[in-house]
Amino acid sequence: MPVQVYQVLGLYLITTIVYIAWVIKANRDVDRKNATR
Amino acid sequence: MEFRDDIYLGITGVIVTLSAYFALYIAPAEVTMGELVRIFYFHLPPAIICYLSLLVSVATGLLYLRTKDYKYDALSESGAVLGLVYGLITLISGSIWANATWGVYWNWDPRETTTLILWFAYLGYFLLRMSIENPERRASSAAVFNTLAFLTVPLSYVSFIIWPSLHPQLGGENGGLGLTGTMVQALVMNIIGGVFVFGYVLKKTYDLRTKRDEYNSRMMEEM
Repeated sequence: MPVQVYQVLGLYLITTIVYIAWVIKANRDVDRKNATR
Repeated sequence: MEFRDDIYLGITGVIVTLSAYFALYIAPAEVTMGELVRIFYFHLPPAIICYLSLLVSVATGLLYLRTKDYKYDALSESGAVLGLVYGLITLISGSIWANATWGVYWNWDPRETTTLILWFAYLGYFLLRMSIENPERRASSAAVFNTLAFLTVPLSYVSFIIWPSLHPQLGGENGGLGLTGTMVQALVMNIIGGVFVFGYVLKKTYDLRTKRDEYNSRMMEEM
């Protein structure tokens, strides 16, 4: 299998996973801030 | 029935994993491109997420102009964020494909060039938003700018029809991709996975934006 196939798959999946992890964490942080005020 | 983010995310993960496995190991190689055709299965979903996000962004921007309801502005901005993120993935994965098939990462092909223009147009959208402090003016100006910036989306989509291009076309005769049977199944599965990803990231990005607005308005009230 050409390495470029894995590069493109990795780019798509890793960016998506990192973005989802970031957005979930940011949602939790702002939930916490809203709850304490 | 209450929407469960975690269940939706689990289903999305299963679909994306199965479709990636199918595209890597079940679908056969293509006659002219060989194994490199598999890049296409993972290049198309981010491109579709980018186009869908920008479609949502422009539609809700127009709804904001009509109703002046900030929830539409929040959704419009969320769509533009995802358009920028997945537009960048599309550009990078496209250049990896270009290098593998044409021997260069970038050759100013109409599809590459118009997608780059699209990306910079939406970068300009965020620079505009950052430059205006008044929320109403910011939302209105952004929605108008968005309407103009969105013209780059159909331009990018039809660019290879308007200008001579090396970009592969589905079912095209001249250098096109002759996907058949299992290859089409792999493509459709990955597109469905992409649409599920789009639904999740759009909702969470919109949730974040509205919660931040709520927090900021409380802070303003307390000052």
